[in-house]
Formats: sequence, C-alpha cells, structure tokens
Amino acid sequence: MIKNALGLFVVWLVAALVVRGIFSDLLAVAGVRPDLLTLVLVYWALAAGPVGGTLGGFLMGLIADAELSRGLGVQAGLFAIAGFGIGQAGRHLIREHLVLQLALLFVGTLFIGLGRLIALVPHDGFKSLLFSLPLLLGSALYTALLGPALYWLLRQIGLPDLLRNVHAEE
Amino acid sequence: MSSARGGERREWVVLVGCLVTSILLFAFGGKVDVGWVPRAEVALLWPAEETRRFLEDLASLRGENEHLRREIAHLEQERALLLRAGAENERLRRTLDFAAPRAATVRPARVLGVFGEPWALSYQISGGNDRGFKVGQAVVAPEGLIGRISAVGGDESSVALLSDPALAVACEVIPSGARGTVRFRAEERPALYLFHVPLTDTVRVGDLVVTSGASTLFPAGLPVGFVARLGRDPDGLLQEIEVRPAAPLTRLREVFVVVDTERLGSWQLPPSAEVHAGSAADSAHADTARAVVRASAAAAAPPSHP
Repeated sequence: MIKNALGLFVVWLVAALVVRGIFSDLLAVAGVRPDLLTLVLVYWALAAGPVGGTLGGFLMGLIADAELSRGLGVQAGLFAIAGFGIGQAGRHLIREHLVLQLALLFVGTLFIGLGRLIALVPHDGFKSLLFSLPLLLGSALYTALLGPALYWLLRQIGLPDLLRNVHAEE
Repeated sequence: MSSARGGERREWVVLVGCLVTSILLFAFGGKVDVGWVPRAEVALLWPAEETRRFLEDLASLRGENEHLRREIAHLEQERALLLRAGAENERLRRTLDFAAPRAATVRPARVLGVFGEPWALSYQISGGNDRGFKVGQAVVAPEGLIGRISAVGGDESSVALLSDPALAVACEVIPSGARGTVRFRAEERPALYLFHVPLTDTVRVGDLVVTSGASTLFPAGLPVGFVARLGRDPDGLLQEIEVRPAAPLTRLREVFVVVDTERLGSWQLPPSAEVHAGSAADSAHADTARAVVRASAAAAAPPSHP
C-alpha cells in the first residue's frame, strides 16, 4: 500500500513539476500563477496523513530549495510544517469536502508563500512584503480554486477518489 | 490508546527530524552540491518542453501559412493589376504611335459601351457636342476604320460600327484597285463582305481593303480589313468577297473621331503601328498596301482647306 502511495506521490510530483515548468505561462492569469507544489502537497498530505505529509513536504521543499540554489532547508522546513498541519487537519475533518480543500489550499499557499517571502526574498523591510502580498493572495486564491476544480475534474473523468482510497499510513 | 499515542509521537518525531534537518541544511548547506536537482528537472522536462515547442511551432506555422496565403492572394491581385496596366500601356503606346503622325485632327474618345446582339452593332463613346463631334464623322482605331458617328449627345455619342448592316463603305482592294462596297451581311454566314466587285478584277486572299476615293463619308485609303475568302454572289455575275475587319471591333477601349474628315485627303497608313494582320501573307500585303498608298498620296494634290 505504501509502495502504491509513494508511486502516486512521485507521479503527482512529476506532474506538478512538468506542468509548472512547461505550462506556467498558460496558467498565469493577470500575472498570478498557482502554486502547484503546494497544491500537490495539500492533496498528498490529506491522503497520506501527518507523517506522509511531513516527509512529502520536506522532499518537495528540498526540491524547491535546490531550484532556488540558496537558503537550502528553508522551504524544506516550511513544506514539512505545512504537510504536517494539513495531514492533521485531514485526519480530524472530512477531507473529501471541497470547502475544506479550498481552505487548506488557501492557507497552505499563503503560509508557504509568506515564509518564503520573509526568509528568502531580499526586501527592504515591511514595504516589500506589502508590495508582494497582493500577488501572494492572488496566488493563494488561484491555487485554492484550481485544486478542488482539478479534484472534481479527475473524479468526473473516472479516476479513483484518492482521498478515499489512498491511506499511506494504514 | 497507546498505539495512537505512539503514532502521534512518531508524527512529531518525523516533523522535528525534518525541521532539524532543515535547520542543519540551512546552516551548513552551502557546502552541499544540489545543482544536480535543477539539471535533473531539466532532463525530466525536456520531452514535454520539446513537445510544447513543437506544438507552438506548429501553431505559428499555421498562422504563417495563413499569412503567406493572404500575401499570395494579394500578390496575385497585384500581378493581375500590373498585367492589366501593362496591356493598357501597350495599347496606349500603339495609340500614340498612331495618333502622332496624323495630319488630320483626331480626337480620342473612350468606349463606354458596346451594344448589339448577337454581334456588336454600335459603341457608346465619351464626347459629343462638347468636343465637336458630329453625325457622320469617321471613327477609327490604330488598326483602321471602325465606323461612323450615328448620333451625338451633349457629352456622349453613338458610333455605328462596320458590323452594322445599315452601314456601307465604298472601298477598294490594294494592290489591284478593284472597287466595291463593304457592308455587313447578317444572313447565312454573318461577316463583312465586299460586294459589287467584277469577276474580272483580280483579288487575292490577304489583300488589304481600304476606303476608296469614291467615298463621300470617309477619307480615302483608310484600312477597313483584309480579304479573308473569295466567292461569287448568288447570280454568279460578281464577286462576293469576305473581309476580315482590320480593327478588333469588340475589344477596343479607345477610339479616335476624325473631326475634319472633309479636310482630309488620302489617309496615311501609320508608319510604325501594326496594321492588324493575322498572317504573314496579310502582313506582306499590308506592306505592299502601305507602299501603294504612300505613292498615291505623294502623287495626289494637297487637299484644299476651306
């Protein structure tokens, strides 16, 4: 089961990296892009629980850090915390609920984005943060709307409901 | 209960482990080479990237193809316009060559319409009283006679063409000098015919037919056509000669009205303009005709001017 879950995680991750790398411009709306890594992390953490979410988040964060080639460990930590929190939420709430997904995606993206901004983006105090905040909020909203839409779409085309069937920890 | 607690503890341990690793990486990660991750990503994305580029190229090729198609259509139109302009230029050149050496006063007119069924009987041309056009004035083209003005309006006129059966022109054949009347006959084999030529007169196919000095309406020596076929009238007493018009009656765009027909003596053939000749024989006869007409014109006394 864990093997299947890991395989699924790898597929999701690769899909997210490919879509982000190739169709990033196509997905942009008024300069706002969805955070696809966070999107994958949220669904993965909901499906896999706190441990899977933490480890998956850590791995994704490492990849993001490596891409940025500076501040190695920052995004790994952020993603790990987000994965843990989402995993916990998924355990106690109805994870198939679209509103929950929407909320987790929004908060998750905002959390990771803010952390990334504070820790990595060189800024001259509070001003740059305020300047970047609308873009970050837009990205969080975009990701929050895109996630449930994708989840619904994948179920409509006949793919199994991953949040019901995949439980890495079971 | 204890397994649940153990599970929770394990979760926290995993989280703390990840965070500690993160902090360690942040602190000492400068020495860790992670450059291979982006490189691996590039390698992973390469097929998808190539596919995307291919699709983009395909889309742009389609657009470019469409653009080129439009460009070709535009160029085709432009080419057609240029060809038309070239043909018009050539025609006007010939017209100028024709008009320049005229001693007579000729006024150009544009053909506004061609009327008559099943063959052209008349032209509507630009110019009327405003340009001094009068009924009866000869209308010519560089190749030869076309007809005469049959009605004049304020700024337009009607021209009865040679193909109008009502129009008869006194003519003679060059070089034999055989005289007759050219008229269009609509019956049997509709064509221009030279009537009333005695059987004793020698006429050959390709001979030039010009207006004769006996004409009271047209200046003498004006090319009318070429002998196309020889025959006899139904009685067998006279020749009945089919004449091919010298001027392309249905294709003209500009014509000239000879406004001082009465002042004109023998009509001079254009020195350089091509007299409409469909064959080498026609062309040879036309040269002969020019020589004959030039000689006769030289011998003739200058016309008297009122």
